[in-house]
Amino acid sequence: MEELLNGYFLQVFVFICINIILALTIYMTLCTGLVSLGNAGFMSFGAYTSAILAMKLDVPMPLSILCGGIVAAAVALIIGIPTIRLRGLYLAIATLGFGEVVRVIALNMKITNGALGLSGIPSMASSLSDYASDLGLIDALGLDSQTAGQLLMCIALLILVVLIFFFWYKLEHSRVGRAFAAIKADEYAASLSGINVVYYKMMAFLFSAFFAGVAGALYAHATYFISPTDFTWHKVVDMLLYTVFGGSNVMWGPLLGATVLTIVPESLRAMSEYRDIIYGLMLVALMGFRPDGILSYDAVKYIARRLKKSPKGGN
Amino acid sequence: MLLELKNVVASYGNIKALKGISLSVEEGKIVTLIGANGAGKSTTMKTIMGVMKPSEGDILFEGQSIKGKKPYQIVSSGLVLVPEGRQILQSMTVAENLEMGAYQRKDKAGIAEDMEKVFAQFPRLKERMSQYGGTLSGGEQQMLAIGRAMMARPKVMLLDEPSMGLAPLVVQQIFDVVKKINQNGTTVLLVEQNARKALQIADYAYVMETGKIVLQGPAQQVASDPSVMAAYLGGRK
Repeated sequence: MEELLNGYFLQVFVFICINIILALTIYMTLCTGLVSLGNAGFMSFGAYTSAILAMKLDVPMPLSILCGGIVAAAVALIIGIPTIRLRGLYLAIATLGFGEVVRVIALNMKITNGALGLSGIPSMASSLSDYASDLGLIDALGLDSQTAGQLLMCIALLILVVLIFFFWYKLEHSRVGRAFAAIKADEYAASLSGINVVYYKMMAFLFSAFFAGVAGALYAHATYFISPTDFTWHKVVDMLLYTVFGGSNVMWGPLLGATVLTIVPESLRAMSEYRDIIYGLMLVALMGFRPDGILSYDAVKYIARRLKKSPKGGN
Repeated sequence: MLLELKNVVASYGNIKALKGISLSVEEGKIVTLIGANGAGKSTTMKTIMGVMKPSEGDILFEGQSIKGKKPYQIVSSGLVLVPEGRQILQSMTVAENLEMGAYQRKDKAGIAEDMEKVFAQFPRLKERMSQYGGTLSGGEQQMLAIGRAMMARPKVMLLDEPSMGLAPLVVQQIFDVVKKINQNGTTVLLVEQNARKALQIADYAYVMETGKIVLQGPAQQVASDPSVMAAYLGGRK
């Protein structure tokens, strides 16, 4: 237990949680068949908004994170109106372009401190540990305040991931979710069934941007430092990989993908020269053997059946 | 008139597909629109449903203009299209496909009732209720597409080439169903290449050629028109 509570592991766990949220944002748009690659842009809107609000205006962190999400969603609305009607690759390219535009803007603005980035962003871990020590929790646990803060942050992020997951799960199994699925299956048929295709696509797009903004804000408060290089298109490719690797047709896919693909590069740190080769080979192999990602709809059903059969969940 | 097109012009880019179409569909009737490939029949259907925007003219449904409305608005006003090539949702089950057809309705009891009606009409669909749409045969997919349209409880059902690519026996079955749907009170606008069958069940017919209506009249009269017989009915009645 003591070993698990070292700062490095906790830090990795924090990134797993943030990456899961990012992978889910890609999944959200994919639910309606949209391939949107603007999520790094939305993420940076969230990160900068929350960081600036917290640093310059002393806005409490939960509120600034929420604002980050809202600003990202508002931007998505503006971007979405002209682009959401685009299909397939066209939308992917338009949104990818948007992400780059955002990066270049952040690079040149004074308030974002240009290429130097913002440093000294209030830390989520220390603000949580301050809060906990006010309540006298830290002494009760017998941890030093830094570890306690990180641990609390892990718990907070885990709760957030569960909430977001549950929210989207509920949405997917509602009337709205059925419209999403129909649009993904066949947009034309969906519109003829009386579904307002643009409305639902926009809805998925806005939710995706909102949570990408929240993830960006969390990222800012987890690393205390952000610069435009944190939000390049590499970041989007990462998010896309999490989702595609894990399986983009079921919600568990992005969850698994983000977890595995965050841990693997970390565990390969020891052989850093070969890291990218192994990582790349893994992806090539996956696309060869399971082009739909590790978890497909059928795989999830199979696992659920097995779990039901052996309630102890041995395997 | 329940549905009326007034001098409707629609284009794909620079190519005018509809060069001023006027037609009317009387309540309770089966009206058919026949013509060769590329005459603009499917374009007419798409234009009525709001999938394509007419550049000129007007479309009236129950006396109200529906021109420029979006497909989902047109569906909620009481028109529904069974599209060419069926366009069923392949990755969804038969039951889910039918539920999608009733997407705009909120009366659960009515939906369940209509689902039973569809199953009574197409027992095959009931057998395959939990099968994926993509695994059905062509005929079954057409039945599903019609069933899905029935689930919207439309006032007018538009059918675009329901007999396309189907075996003769299945074609007959589909036409019987169309007739039955009409007898149950739904007005039908039917686009067909199988002119003979369409004219048999229709009350009124329009003949289209290269974006224009060239002939119209009661179905029997159109069927006995020498030019129609020569062009669409193989020269004999």
